[in-house]
Amino acid sequence: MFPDLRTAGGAIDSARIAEFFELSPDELKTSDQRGSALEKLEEIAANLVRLTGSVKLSRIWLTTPNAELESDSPIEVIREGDADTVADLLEDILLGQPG
Amino acid sequence: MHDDATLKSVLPSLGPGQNLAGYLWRATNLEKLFGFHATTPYLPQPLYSPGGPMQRGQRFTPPGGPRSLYMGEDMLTAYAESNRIAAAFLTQAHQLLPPKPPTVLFLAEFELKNVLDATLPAVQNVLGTSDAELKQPWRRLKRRRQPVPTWRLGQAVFNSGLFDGMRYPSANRQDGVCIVVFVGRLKKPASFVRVYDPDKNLKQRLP
Repeated sequence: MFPDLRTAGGAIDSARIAEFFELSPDELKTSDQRGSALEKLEEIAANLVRLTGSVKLSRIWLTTPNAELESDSPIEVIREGDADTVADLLEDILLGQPG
Repeated sequence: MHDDATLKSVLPSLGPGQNLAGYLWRATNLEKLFGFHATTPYLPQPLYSPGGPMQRGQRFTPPGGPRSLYMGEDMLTAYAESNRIAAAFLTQAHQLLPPKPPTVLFLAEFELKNVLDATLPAVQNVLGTSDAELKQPWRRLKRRRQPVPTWRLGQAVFNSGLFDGMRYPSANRQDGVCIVVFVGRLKKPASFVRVYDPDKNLKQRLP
């Protein structure tokens, strides 16, 4: 069920990450402001598929305005280079952390 | 929300808070709770969130702030807090509803002394705040390095030393109430939070 976002050698595959999030190479670069964005995006993808059950529903959630993000969509937040905020939100939901 | 100095000066007038006892609720993803597939195995700590409020920040806890435990006051609120993905689909009128992965709904028995009740309009007036401000989105403010009013309130309430915790309105369930417990203010044996599990599969007590 989880998307395979790694190469055969075990490294995170930036092309697969870009495909999952429908990001251009430039947008992927922008989201990498902290140098660890690929790992963060892989974490987001895994948690999102865990919570939605599919890549299709994950993408709908990613592109839907979110009240907890001041009505920005999660993908807009990621494109701004703020993958941490989206990752934290998903982690809190999984933990049942009242937000 | 009042400024920090005003908050500090008005908080004593709100004490002592309520003495509360009973059960608090939380709904946590099964995999996250037990870490079955985690790279580094860990024992479940239902009352502790790895990388949680203290490190990342939470609604009333600035990053690096006081150790804090967030729970719902009832089952439906706890469930709503864990079901925000599906709720987002419902509110956007999508035809598809995502499935929910296995989730552990558990209770924690508690006794708390001097809980500030920030759900009360009279208390909110003294604090210079409102339901809307207490529920407002805070994650983007954090990112923009803008002041987060609820962080200032949480830190001021903790710093006052007067309260074990604070009741506040849930942002994710109409009329739902949550509690933030300031773990560092719990004094044995009068104040505690303890997971309720007669089979002792889940065990944790604070402090």
